[in-house]
Amino acid sequence: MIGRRDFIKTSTLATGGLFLGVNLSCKEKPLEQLGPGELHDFNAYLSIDTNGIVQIANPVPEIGQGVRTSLPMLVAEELSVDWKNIKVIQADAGMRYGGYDQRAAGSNSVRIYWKPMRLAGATARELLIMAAANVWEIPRENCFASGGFIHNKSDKRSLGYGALAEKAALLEVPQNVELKKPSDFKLIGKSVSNPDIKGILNGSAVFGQDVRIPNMSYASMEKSEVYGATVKTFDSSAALAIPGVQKVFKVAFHGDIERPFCREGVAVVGDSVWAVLKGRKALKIEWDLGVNIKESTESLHQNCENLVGRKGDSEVKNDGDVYKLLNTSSNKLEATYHLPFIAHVPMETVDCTIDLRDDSCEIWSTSQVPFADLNFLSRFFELPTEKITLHLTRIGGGFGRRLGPDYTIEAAKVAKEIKKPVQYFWTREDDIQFDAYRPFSYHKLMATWNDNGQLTSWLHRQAGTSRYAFRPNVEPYISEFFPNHFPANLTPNFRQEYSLAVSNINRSLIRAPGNNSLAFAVESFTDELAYANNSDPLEFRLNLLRDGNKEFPFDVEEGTVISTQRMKDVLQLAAEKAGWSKKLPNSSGMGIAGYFTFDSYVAHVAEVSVDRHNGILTVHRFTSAVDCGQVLNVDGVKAQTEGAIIDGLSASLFQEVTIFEGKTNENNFNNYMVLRMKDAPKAIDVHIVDNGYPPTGMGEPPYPPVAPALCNAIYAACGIRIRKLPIKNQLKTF
Amino acid sequence: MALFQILINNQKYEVDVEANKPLLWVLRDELSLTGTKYGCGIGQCGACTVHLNGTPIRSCGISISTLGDSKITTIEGLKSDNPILKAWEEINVPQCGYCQAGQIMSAVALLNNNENPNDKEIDVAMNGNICRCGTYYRMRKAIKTAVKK
Repeated sequence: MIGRRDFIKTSTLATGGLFLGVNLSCKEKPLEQLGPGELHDFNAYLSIDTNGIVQIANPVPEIGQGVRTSLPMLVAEELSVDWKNIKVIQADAGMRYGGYDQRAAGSNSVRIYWKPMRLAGATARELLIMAAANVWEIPRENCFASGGFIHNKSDKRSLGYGALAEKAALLEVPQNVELKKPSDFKLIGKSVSNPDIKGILNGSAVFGQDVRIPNMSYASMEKSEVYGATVKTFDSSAALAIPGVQKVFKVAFHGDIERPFCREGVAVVGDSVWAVLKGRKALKIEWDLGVNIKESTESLHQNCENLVGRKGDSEVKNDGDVYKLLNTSSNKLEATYHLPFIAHVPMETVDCTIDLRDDSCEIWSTSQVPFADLNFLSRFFELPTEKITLHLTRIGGGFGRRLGPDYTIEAAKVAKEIKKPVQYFWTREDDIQFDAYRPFSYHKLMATWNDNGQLTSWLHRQAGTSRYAFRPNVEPYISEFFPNHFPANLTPNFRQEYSLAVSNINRSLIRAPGNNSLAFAVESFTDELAYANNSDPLEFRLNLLRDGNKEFPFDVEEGTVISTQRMKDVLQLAAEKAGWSKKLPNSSGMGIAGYFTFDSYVAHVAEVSVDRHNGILTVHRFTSAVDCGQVLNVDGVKAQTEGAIIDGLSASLFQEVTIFEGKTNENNFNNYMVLRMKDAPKAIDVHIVDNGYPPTGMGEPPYPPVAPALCNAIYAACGIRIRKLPIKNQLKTF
Repeated sequence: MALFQILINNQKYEVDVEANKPLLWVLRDELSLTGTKYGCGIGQCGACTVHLNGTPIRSCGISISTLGDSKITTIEGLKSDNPILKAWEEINVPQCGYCQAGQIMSAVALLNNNENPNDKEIDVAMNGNICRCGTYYRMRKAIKTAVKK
């Protein structure tokens, strides 16, 4: 461990939360051979130790999106230090590191931290330059930073950062630091290694469930499969007789926590996970199942089908007069698409470790929104936030599952009850049965076109179980529709309608929320329109987007725009790299889909073949083009795209949560399937559009266009149009 | 409860546990060898894969009482110069990393028994391991890279 001495606080920066302080020299030695060194903090994100190791604090939870690489790159770039001399640590949750900005959500990290983290590096670089200039008694302009040294332009002298750090930290912090020009970037826009790779490969990386603290118990909770059920009576005698079981008690939520989704249950605490699991099995609980036993996905199907059969309850957007066109045009098409509830299933089931003491608390969290959890726990434990330390462990996948506070609330309840350190966890069965799912939805689309093949009207009716239905005073469609998404503004008559299907089944955000359903409906229907027009699906899309670049306001609140040119660019690049017009064997086909999510543009071309006699689909290749503005880590962009393709294939092929009598039928990986090696495409080619726009995220944007690209390819291969996901055995037709 | 002697990563351990306690929980609860992960508890995901006398097994489904003097190897017991580990690093396979110990144990066992597996053999060997981040494409590439090492 690096000792943490000589902490020097000097000032605060205008960006808020950063404060300065530092230390030392860059020796050409591998990281693991270095002994402990003195550490000087330059600011919240950055300190340098006597051995020249630059320690960078990553503020955002690492759920596999590669943020522990991409954000530290920003500091390292501006500081002008070799990547191999970087050590990344995980920042605790707190205002110092951005507070609510410390979230793995909305593909936001690079958009939020792009400037402040570069500024953190640049400010430290400037201080080191000023310190060197003082040592050499030369003007600051005669010095420059490179590779962990400040160099003197007029002779060959140089000083390591270590030798300068202490002096630098005593200087007044400069207010107008210049950031590097993109043409001077040495790290940004390249691929760098994952700073955590060694720990992952040797098993020493600490995930939430790997946290071990002294005197720690384990706990988990038995709950009813029916949401809203309450415990009538329970018998804990058999559970308490199991060796290692320490305590059994009921956990209820009576408005003391104003949060949805928590289920009443009986908690089992024990000295090992195994004791807790056995204890849970031995419990005898009599439930009052409540009103939700009437819930079923079968009735939701009927309800939503009916709802999209009539005018929607809410008008989301209305340009021109769609209905007039639909009533008078002879060129028209309609189709209805369905997306089921799906679960997140991160590889690591949710967990939270809490050490609650009388006047303070320490937490090891796996939350995607740790600062929100910190504030909740502060209220619940009646402790000021300064008395709570919330660490973030490495996290075994997110996908939106860890945006919900349910498991943290349960952990807090247990910790308060037992008053000793506890690791609270869910099993895989809990994970699938008690998840808050991606909303269930039906989409009926209708469109007309003129004799030149130009789209003249577009109607999109959606009915579903919006996740916003749980929020007071918010229109439920807000989370399920993006009114300015294409083809909005590309046709004079455009209308979106929404009807809420009432359901108490829990639902929440999943990777690219809203978009992942919309993309399937919109990009499948666009494909259908192309075929109805005897057009090539790529050409049809390009014609729809027209010549030149048009930018339309997308999210007025955030000031974002959606560009026709950037969308065309990814479509064309993906098509070109995939060999779009090449001749394929019989029963093979290519499908294309392009989509805009969180300011990034992604197009995929899927190449598949379908053996119709056996209903066997083979996904041969995905060729992808992404535009996320300025790329930080090229390898990271590719990894996120590859991963999103696999995720999208899993959802398209198998994934569906079904409900009967209020209970989720699926409960583990044997009946809720995830794509495996044999079904994964053997080729994934990711191409990046380099255009100099500001950087945007990549955790989510590649996901929405996967399902439509796949299903469009299936249609091209065999003429079967998939309108309901998952595909399951829809290809078996003989 | 009963005393069991087990051999893990060439080291002898004595644990006092129930006879039906799965190896996974002996590793994690008793020995703090937390590199081996829980993913499903029913042998479907492979996150808990370890070697039993060189054969990859799901440690969530095997009781300690059945181990006898078998030789267990976990992720912590692999030599750092193992070609699979080298290739995994070179190709930069992991994303969240949670499933990777299990994936690596399956891949190491595959190459121990088959110097140059074809795609089909890779599919069979790796099909018991789920990666939710979707690193299959890179894992296949890494296995082929390791073959060349």
